[in-house]
Amino acid sequence: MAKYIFSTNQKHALGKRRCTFCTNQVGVIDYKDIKSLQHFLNAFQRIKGRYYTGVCLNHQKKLGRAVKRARHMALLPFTN
Amino acid sequence: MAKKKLVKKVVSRIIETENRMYEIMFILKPDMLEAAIKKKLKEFNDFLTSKEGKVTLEDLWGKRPLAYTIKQYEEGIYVVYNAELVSSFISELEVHLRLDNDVIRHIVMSIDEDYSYSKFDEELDEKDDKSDTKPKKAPVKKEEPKKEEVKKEEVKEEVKEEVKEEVKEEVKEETPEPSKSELDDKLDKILGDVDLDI
Repeated sequence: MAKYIFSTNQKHALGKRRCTFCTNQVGVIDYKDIKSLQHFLNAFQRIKGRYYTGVCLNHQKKLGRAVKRARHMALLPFTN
Repeated sequence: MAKKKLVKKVVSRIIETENRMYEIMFILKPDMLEAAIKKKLKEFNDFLTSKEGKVTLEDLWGKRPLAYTIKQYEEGIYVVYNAELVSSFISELEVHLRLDNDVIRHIVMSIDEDYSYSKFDEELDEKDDKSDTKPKKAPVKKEEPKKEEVKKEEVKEEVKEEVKEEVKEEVKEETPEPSKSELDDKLDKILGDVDLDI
């Protein structure tokens, strides 16, 4: 599976916000890659907002689609 | 009016576009035997190739716990296919998967041509098993070189006794762990070979 280097993206710690998928140059976000998807989920298994993760809008949409596919196939839970 | 004609042309082109890459993933019932799974996959493979389809990849993940119960099952057998199919064939495929009683869930999605399939890693289960096995083996290895270095007979005897005791304990600990999986395999073999009609 693709290994991403996650940027913490604290708005105030880093001057700039950086998207993890843009920095790793990811075209397709794989719905089977649960480990890295879980980084963008809450403790309640809800998708974190862009404000907290710093993902760009284009990739946030793709990420949401990937998470929902994984949920449909019971790789990720809907709620916790 | 011109717009409608244009739309019709575009739609017809999209429908006519012959081959596309698709990824098909489905979950089988967990209580299926190995022979039954093999038969199922063969049938599905034949079904895909029956109408000018090319199967480029077939991956059986094996049994995996589900994140939530589906039809009162808590486990499932995951199968992934990558195939080049005719786009008009997809609706037929969907119906085929929906009517199949052994398939609990399925998903069909289109893929770009430069898509590279990466194998799925079992995250937690395998690591725990490895961490259990490694520390058990490691102390035994450390003690063996000690014997060679220290040439006093008394020390040797003590070390040997300790090693023997540890080995006995390890044997007792290790035997119950694989028994479940081995038993399952044996059951599968016995039931699969004879083809019992119960």
